[in-house]
Amino acid sequence: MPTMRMRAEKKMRKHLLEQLKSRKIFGARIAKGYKTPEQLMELNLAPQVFLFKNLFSGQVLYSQVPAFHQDQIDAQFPRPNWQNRKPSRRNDLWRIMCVADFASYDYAVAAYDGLVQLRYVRDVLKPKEAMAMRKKNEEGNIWYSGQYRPCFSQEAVADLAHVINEFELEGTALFWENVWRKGEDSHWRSDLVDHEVLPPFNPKYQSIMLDELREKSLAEFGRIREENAAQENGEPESAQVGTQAA
Amino acid sequence: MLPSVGIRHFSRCAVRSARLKPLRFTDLNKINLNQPVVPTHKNFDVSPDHPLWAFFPNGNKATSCFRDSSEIDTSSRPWALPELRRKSFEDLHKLWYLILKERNILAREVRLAEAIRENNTQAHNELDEKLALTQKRIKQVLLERQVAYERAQLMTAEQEEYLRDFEERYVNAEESDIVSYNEKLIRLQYAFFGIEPQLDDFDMETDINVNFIEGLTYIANLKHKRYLKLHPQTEEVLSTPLDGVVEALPFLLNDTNEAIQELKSLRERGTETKLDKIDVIPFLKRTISQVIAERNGTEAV
Repeated sequence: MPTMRMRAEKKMRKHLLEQLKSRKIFGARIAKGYKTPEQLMELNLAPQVFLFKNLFSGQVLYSQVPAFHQDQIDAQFPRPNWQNRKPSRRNDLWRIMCVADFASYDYAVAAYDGLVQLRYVRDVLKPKEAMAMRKKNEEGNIWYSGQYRPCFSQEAVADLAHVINEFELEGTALFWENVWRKGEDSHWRSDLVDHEVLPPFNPKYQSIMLDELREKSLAEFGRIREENAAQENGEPESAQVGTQAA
Repeated sequence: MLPSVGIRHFSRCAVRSARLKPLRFTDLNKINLNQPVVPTHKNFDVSPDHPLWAFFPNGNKATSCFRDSSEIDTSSRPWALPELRRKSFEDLHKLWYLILKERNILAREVRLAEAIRENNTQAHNELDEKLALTQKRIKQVLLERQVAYERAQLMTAEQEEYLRDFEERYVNAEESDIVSYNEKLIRLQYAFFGIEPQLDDFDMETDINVNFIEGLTYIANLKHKRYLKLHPQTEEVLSTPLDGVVEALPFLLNDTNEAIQELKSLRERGTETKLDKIDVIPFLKRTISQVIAERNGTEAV
């Protein structure tokens, strides 16, 4: 015999289920939501942009923080189709490709915005142009091996160069997982960008490496800001060097 | 010219205040997209002794990753069994690894051909079969040798007969033949008892064993008997047979005459030279290492 349920009881069960659903976290909490320069500073984050590549499909995810969230995936893959599927959130598939270290929080946020906008242009506003530049196989589809399409990460690198050159973000340092990916030097303006290599890391501890990188960048940023303040106050150069050494 | 201190350090405030370029795209519809940036290997150097070069036919001088069938050696033949039987173990070992490396190269090329849908790998496979046949033959030769060795271990009666026969011939040998007999004895002691011809080659952990003691006793008795045969008028002290490794060891380490002198002094002193069984191997190890150290020391001086 089915158990009798009061109306209040049913309501409560429904309410509890909704609670459970709303509590579910789709990704890292810190990566949820857009970050303004002030928020980045408050959260003790460095002026960086992180580019994660998907090992399965070759797609690239941009993030302002050393983590990612489902909301970012939804925002950055606006028109999924069979060749450009919406990637999964599995954290074992997203491996860091490049960490871009900028000279200020304004630059970092501008670069992130620019990258997301360029992705939008490629996927929504000018999909035909973007498709024309991709390498095709003999059937006229994007070249692939299995599910992997290398063009997506190449486009991300091109967009990164585009943003840096367009906004003239001087004092940028790019930490590549593999310098192979940065392509010919002609794509980069040497007065704006320094290319470096990420420290060797175990993929299991990728987040720890990224956090260390964030701390290092933060310390560097603080040091430069102090120097600039000292310069503006008109202190002599030698005095600065002395205080640093001390 | 910018100072070498770094661009980030250089006048950021001035640049920021004088920015001409806005920090955002004005009109998304007017953006000209960049071509995808194709990765390039020119950005890094590959070590010329990288181990993976071993998978290419010319090592780090390789210019292509796939050889056509015209570049593959089709006229050669596998090594024949009689040819391999003449080779030493070291030669066979080297040959095995050369073949293994070559087969690895071929296997990589065939795998690559599968991946790029290049189906013309007939020549690769044929060469690989020849190499595999040579490897099988090397195994066959080694098996034959192992079987021969194991059979020889079982022929104890024949071995004993041969040793007795050799003893007789050695003791009765002419003075002119003794040099060749001594050389033969060195080969014999290595073949039958595993006693290395050179003291320095001794491995103290494994070489000093029961077999070694047997061989030592055999050699010492052999030389002692020959000495008695050549000098029938020896004193009573020397004429009794050798007893134990303490008396036998000098015959292995020294010249016969020196060994006889040593034996004489041992027996005249009248000290107990018979060791307990458990002391025999430690005594041999200790004494032989002392002798090796002394000889090396004197050579070094």
